[in-house]
Amino acid sequence: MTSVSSPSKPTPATTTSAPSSPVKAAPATTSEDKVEPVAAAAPAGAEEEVAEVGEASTAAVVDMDVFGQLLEIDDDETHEFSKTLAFDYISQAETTFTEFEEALNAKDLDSLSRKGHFLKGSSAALGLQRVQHSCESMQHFGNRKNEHGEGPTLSEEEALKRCRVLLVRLRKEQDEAKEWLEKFYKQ
Amino acid sequence: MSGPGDYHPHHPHSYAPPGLNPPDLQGRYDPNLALNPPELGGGPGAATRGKRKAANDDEEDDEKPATGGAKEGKGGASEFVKKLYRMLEDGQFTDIVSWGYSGDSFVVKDMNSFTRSILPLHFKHSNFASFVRQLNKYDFHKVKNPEEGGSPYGEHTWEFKHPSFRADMKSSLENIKRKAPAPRKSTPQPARGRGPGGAIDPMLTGGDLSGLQAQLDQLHRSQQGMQQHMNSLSQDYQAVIGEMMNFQRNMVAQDQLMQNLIQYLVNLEADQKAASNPGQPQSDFVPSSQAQKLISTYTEVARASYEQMADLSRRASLSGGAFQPMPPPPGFGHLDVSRGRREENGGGPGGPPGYGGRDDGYRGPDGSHQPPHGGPPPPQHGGPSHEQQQQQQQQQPPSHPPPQHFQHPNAPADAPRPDSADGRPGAARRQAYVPGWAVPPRVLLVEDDAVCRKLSSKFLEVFGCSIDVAVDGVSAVNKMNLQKYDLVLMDIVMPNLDGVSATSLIRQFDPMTPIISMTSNSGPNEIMTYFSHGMNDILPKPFTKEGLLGMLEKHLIHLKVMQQMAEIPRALGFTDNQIQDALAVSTVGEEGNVINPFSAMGISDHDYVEMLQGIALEKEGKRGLEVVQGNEREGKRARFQEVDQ
Repeated sequence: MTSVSSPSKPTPATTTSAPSSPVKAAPATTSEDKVEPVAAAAPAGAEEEVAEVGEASTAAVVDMDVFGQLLEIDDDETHEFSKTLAFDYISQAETTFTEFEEALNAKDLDSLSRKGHFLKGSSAALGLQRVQHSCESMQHFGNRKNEHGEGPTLSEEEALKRCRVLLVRLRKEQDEAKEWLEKFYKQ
Repeated sequence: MSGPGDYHPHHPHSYAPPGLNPPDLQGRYDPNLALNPPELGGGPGAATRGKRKAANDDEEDDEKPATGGAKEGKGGASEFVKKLYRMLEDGQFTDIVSWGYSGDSFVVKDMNSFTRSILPLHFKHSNFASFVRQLNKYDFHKVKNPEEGGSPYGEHTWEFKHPSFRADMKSSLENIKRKAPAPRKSTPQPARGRGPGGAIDPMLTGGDLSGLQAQLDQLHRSQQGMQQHMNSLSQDYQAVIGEMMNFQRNMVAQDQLMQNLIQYLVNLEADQKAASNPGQPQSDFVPSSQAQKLISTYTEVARASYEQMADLSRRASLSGGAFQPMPPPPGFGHLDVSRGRREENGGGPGGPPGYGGRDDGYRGPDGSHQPPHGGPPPPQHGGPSHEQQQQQQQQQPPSHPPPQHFQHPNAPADAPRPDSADGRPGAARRQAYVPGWAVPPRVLLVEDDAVCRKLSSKFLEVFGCSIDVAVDGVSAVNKMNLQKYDLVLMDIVMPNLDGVSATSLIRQFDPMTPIISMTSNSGPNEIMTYFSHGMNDILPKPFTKEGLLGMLEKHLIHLKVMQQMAEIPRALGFTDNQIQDALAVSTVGEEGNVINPFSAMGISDHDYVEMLQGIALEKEGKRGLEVVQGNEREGKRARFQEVDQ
């Protein structure tokens, strides 16, 4: 039903040929298939803490099922609507990251959880699934739970530490997503 | 000389101690005892008179002890015996009356003085014969002396004895009972008809008792009979209500069918017209006069039957006191084609929206006000001009909510589309998604995330809705307060006021408008919370186009122009909940107890409620009827059993 390939317009694959080749994973749904190790997977920085914050999503930067829907409701080839939306997202995410930092400095776990939830919503709307995934983990850490929202209550320090580590990864994922979007709409 | 026959002249009515009858008097004289009151020495006439008088006194005297005795029941001795005992205990007149030597009898030594001074003092009369009769009644025996005049207490003394009447045993006094009268020949006594509240005659004989018993049984039986009658009445009543509900339900279904038929015909007509002159854009489609007639007839019929039903419900509520009138099902008797939006949510909780009020929005058939397809352009008639208009619309910045006249002209898939020559890929692609709304549904989108808000707005716009947005719970509540919407899409996590709290507040003044939670937290617990706070559905985030469209179609089905003939949705009628609520109210009494008319037949309250719910929940009237009949059979069986007892 939601065909990614609309005949009338160039698909993202042809137009972008992005470095991270995001479109490759696109037809293969949203699920995190580990068979396909995408280049430049996120957890490169803080190695020793990776286990604590959970696996980074190895799915494509953008879920094309979701993003394709956006393109579909664009009225014409200029993609004006989805483009506006994407750049709205980017600037909104920037604000949110600033708020992440502030909350982290203030050791405000509640706020971290709320902001995580917030960014999760908008990133999910655009199909930015890696960001979405990490945001969800952030939401749970803020609630002092593990990355799946389960388990024993974390101590405040532990939760803050995880948030800090996670934020690094999230930043990275957000930058990837931003890059992808900017490339897509550059033409 | 003092035969029992002497007392027959006393007709009960002459002194009318209730329930006292001539035969009773017979039993009070024991001829063998040969008690001879001294006055009897006079002439026979005088004697008779005296006895009459004596009997009179006797009876009057009896009244008090009798009632007292009746009250005391098994507990205490009879008043007469107690008085007697007190008199002897007194010891004031030992020369006149005293205990016998052995303490097991008492002796009246001076009958004249006794009659003169002691009797009035203790028994309020001065009739020795009466006193003796009383003694006799209580089974005291005169002690006969072996030889005349040989009484140890002297001449003309009277010694009376009762095995339980002893100076040293006051406690045994209660063993002294009035003798049972001789078995009465049972003649039907009108006096027996006394109500249970009346005084019970002290002279109760065995016959009296059995008579009363019989009477009691009779009353019991007649009460049972009445109970049976009541049961069958309330059973009939329940059956009638059950049938009424079946009728009502069937009517709604028929109404729906009719509505669909007419819409189908109208659409058919429109298609034919469109097909006949495809090049000619028509701004408005007006149904032919035939169709108009159909519609107006339909409206009249629907209204009439609805009013009848409402009347029935009202009467049921008057007689039953608890059967709530059914709120008119939304859209009952209305064709959706021209419904004004405002009427949609017009019905507050206070009462079903008045038919008249709704009617204002629908004066279609006369053609002067608003022909069924007059106001908004008919969705099935999509002229190229409309399509272009729409395109322009969509090129506008999305931050502008589309104005009221925004109308998506796309028809249901099977309708011929004269404008398909348009051929624009965007339009063609979108076409598959868009339902045909009779009027653009007004949707309030509550979302704090600007990106999501924009995206959702865009989706809704594409789906032909007119949109209003609120950025947090507070502004959502305010907007709901000011305006009516057909649907609310509510984010949960928001600043200021979260979606759940906002919904709770909105529900206080608007119980109807569907509120759908848009959330990424959709665990079972959270979902329960959402529903318990008045939300109607869950749309998990991130939602897809199809998910959103499904929600819209599910909750705004009444705004859709044409439904498939095959599926006549029940949802347009009253819902099961409404029926159940009405039933719950009708079966729960003021004290909160379930009034179960079948309890006498061994049907538990629980079963009864289940049965009613069974009636309510049955989708086919036939089954519901069977339930009622089944219970009637059961009731009849039970009735026979009880009568046979």
